Amino acid sequence: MAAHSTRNWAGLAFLGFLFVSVAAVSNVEDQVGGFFKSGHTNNWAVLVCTSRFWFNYRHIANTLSVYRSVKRLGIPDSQIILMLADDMACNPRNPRPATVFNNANQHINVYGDDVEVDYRGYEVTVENFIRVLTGRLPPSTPRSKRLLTDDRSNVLVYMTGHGGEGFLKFQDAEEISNVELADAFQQMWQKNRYHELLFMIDTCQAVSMYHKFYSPNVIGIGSAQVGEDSLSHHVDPSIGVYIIDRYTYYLLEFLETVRPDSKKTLADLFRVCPKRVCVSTPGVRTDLFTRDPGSVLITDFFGSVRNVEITTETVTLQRNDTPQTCR
Amino acid sequence: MGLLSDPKSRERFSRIAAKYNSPLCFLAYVVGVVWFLALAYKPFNHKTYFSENALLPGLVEGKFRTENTASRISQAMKEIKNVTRDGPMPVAWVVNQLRDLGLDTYTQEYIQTIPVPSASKSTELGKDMFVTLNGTNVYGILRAPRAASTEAIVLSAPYKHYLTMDHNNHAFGLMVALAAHFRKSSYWSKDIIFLLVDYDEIGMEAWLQEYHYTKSPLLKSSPLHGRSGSIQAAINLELNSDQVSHFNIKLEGLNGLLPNLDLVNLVVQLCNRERIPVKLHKQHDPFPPEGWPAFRQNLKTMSLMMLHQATGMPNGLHGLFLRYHIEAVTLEGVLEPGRATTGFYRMGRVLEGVFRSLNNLLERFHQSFFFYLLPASDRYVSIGMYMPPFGLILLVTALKAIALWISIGTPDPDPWEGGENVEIERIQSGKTEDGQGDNTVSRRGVTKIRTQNYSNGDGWSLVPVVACCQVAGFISSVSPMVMTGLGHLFSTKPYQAIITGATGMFFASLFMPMCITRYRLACTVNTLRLWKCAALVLQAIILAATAAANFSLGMLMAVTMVPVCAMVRPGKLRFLQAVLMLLVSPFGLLIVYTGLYLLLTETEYHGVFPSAIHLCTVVYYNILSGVIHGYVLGTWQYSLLALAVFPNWLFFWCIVFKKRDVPVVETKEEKKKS
Repeated sequence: MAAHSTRNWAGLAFLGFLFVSVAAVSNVEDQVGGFFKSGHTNNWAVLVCTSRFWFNYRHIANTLSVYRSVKRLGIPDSQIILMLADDMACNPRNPRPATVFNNANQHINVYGDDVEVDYRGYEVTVENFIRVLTGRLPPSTPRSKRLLTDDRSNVLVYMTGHGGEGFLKFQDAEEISNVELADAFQQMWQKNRYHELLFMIDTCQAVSMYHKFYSPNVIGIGSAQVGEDSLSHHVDPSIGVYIIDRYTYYLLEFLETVRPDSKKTLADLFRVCPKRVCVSTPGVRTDLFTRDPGSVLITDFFGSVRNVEITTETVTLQRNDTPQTCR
Repeated sequence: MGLLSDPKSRERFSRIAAKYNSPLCFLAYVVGVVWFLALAYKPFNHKTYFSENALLPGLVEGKFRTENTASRISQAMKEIKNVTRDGPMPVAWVVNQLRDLGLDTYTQEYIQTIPVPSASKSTELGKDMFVTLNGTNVYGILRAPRAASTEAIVLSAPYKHYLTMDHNNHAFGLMVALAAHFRKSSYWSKDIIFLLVDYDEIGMEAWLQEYHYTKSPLLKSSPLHGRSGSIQAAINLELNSDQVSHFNIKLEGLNGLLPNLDLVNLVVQLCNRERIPVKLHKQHDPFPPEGWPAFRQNLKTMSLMMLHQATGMPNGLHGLFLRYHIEAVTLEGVLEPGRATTGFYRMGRVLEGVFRSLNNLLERFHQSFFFYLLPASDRYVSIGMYMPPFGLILLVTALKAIALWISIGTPDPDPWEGGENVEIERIQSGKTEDGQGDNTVSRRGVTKIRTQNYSNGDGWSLVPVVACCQVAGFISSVSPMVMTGLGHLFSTKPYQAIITGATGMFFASLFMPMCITRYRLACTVNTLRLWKCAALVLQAIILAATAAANFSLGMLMAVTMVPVCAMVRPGKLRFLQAVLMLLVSPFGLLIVYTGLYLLLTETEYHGVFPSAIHLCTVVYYNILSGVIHGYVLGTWQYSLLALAVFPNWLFFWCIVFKKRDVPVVETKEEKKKS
């Protein structure tokens, strides 16, 4: 049977069980068929904070906000590559050790109870990031630090840090350009490493980072236009830092309302941070994407669906009568 | 390039430099001075801003609430002082206060040997020449709970002995209160050292030397048993009372060093945040910020800063940190009658904010300016802005030197400046080019004789006069020490011996030109031109080098010395020249600028005579402290004046009194007529 019947459907089926029993069979198949239209079977997320130092607390909070959301919506730690260039939770300057907050009210501790950071501190480099995306890691790399995606994987790539037109700074030493990033995505496509890819970036002049993309099935979302700064949202006077960036603050506010069974679509996601509250102008690029964003669920990227393929054929399993010998 | 190597352009340049020399010099000087003064005006300077991202000034809310501790401790200290009078620092009590808070508390004893009497102890110790000063510093280290002790910040306060007028009990009270507050928090990434210093600068120097393992032969101290990491910044606290009306921020450190502007901005911003007025050199920021009165106020603040900086003496304990590249300022809480006051609560919040920001630092202060002048607490003049006008003023010296250099070889003796006789120069230039002309043509022959007489200044004549001047400079640099030693034999008071040593050589050397004249070391006008040219070049080098190290000193010297020295010439108006030269002599400058300082700071005027007495007293103490600080703290202002500026000035002085060799001139004039 259909493993993922919606709540509405369950209620309806319960009420008119006998009456619609014959028709229901074909209805289920329609519903299920519609369910698989996204065409992916697994979800992955690559979440990157590229800046270190205490005064960049907000970038860690940004990344952990998205981490919290994707984890809550079902992507397990094993399918999240979390790259954090600095450790704010354990920074000696943090008056609230082992926490990172997204809001001065300190309602949500985005650091959470169990956070699995895959690449941290000085491991967050452009090289490691590209290698993770393209899968060209040394054989000794543990599975938990690999992006083990295939051609049915939907990948969310979220980045934040300090950037400029056409680049994003990593640590204080190097930067990734938009061309390098576009080429990395193309390699992923050529190596069948994704089915669809949602690229989201919160940095100054963010949209310049997706301008060079040319691989299919990629959506780009940036927090600020070229020439615009992406701004922080507010200060937490008890911690003494700018605590989160505007775009991600409203993104998290939106994602907090999303549940695994939510019907919200990417079109809703595009509207999370209007210029009125964001100050900068977020941008979206959908020309490489084949589906209509209005019909693509948020959970296709931010959640993890456990779709089951239904086959109408009967599979007969042969009984193996060969005696097992034990020597 | 090739301006001077290409004969054609050289000729043109020399013509211009010679013909328009005086107007050019005048223009450069006036423009330079006016430009520099204009920098104090708001539209010509810039608003201060934070360069260091990591500071995050004032983002954090203040939680300081232990102001009662501050009152209690300062009251207790006052009572102890009342009992012990001018006894030693109550070390055990101070140690207990810090130890009770759970700080790692240690003491450091030191003995400073002063080859000359110390300023504070002179009255009691009288004729003792080698004064020794015993003191004990107490410091407590608050260890950062979640970080290795690799970095530290310092909060220091001087312990003022009973006899000094301003008791600093309140600073220690506030320090203990802050320590009590700070140790409850877990967010420190740097150790905080609370340091109570005995005997102001000397105690501070002892502690800093021991902390950095630098040794001085005159200063012996016990090793520090507890230490922390490299010190990133320091705040020194001086409070005259428990209620203050404003904070006076002191910046100028040893040898004119200044703390990084970011630290100054930080303190100013946090004071503004707590609505405590800030003053620089007791000067408030003008309001409204533009217009003539505002400009005058800004100029006054900037001038006072320059006058302070030029002395090279630290005007607070912070000044000694700067030598170790530790950024530091002194916050002096001042109670001005009739003004709204603030108590320990808000003062504590200011310091808490400053320390929280310093705690956020990731690297040493390096982003903002180290060379600047402040016309107001929120306006700055950076090195890039004040150097061009200074360069213009130095251009006067350079232009004069070039003109003189070119005029060497000009046959006509009369135009000392080389200006009026350009035509003759042009006639001669052709002759001099063809190898001093061996022609038998009578007119050319005459020319040849002239050019041989005048083509070269006697370069060797420079050697004795420069050597004499330098020897005089060397003697005056060591004479305070020598005189103190000799004075001991004749049982003169050491103070007088120092003053005699410092000024005696100066007055003695005024008679040097007489000796030189007698020996007739130099005769021709070209030799004198060469002398002055050399003196000007030397002056330009000295002034430029001084300005690089201590801009204010360089600027103050340049602005007075350059025009006078550029104008001096042997012979004419000798008396007027002598007066002007005396005015710009190192001694004269000291009097002039001390007078200016008193004019700017003293509010009431008592009449000519008392003012003159007052001026003399201040000059006397300035010389004294300049010499003594040179030995004890290592300021180099006295040495610079004695070894570089004074010999250079003496060189000019000799030129003024040097007689030109008139007979040679006259014979030549006759020849020309014939």
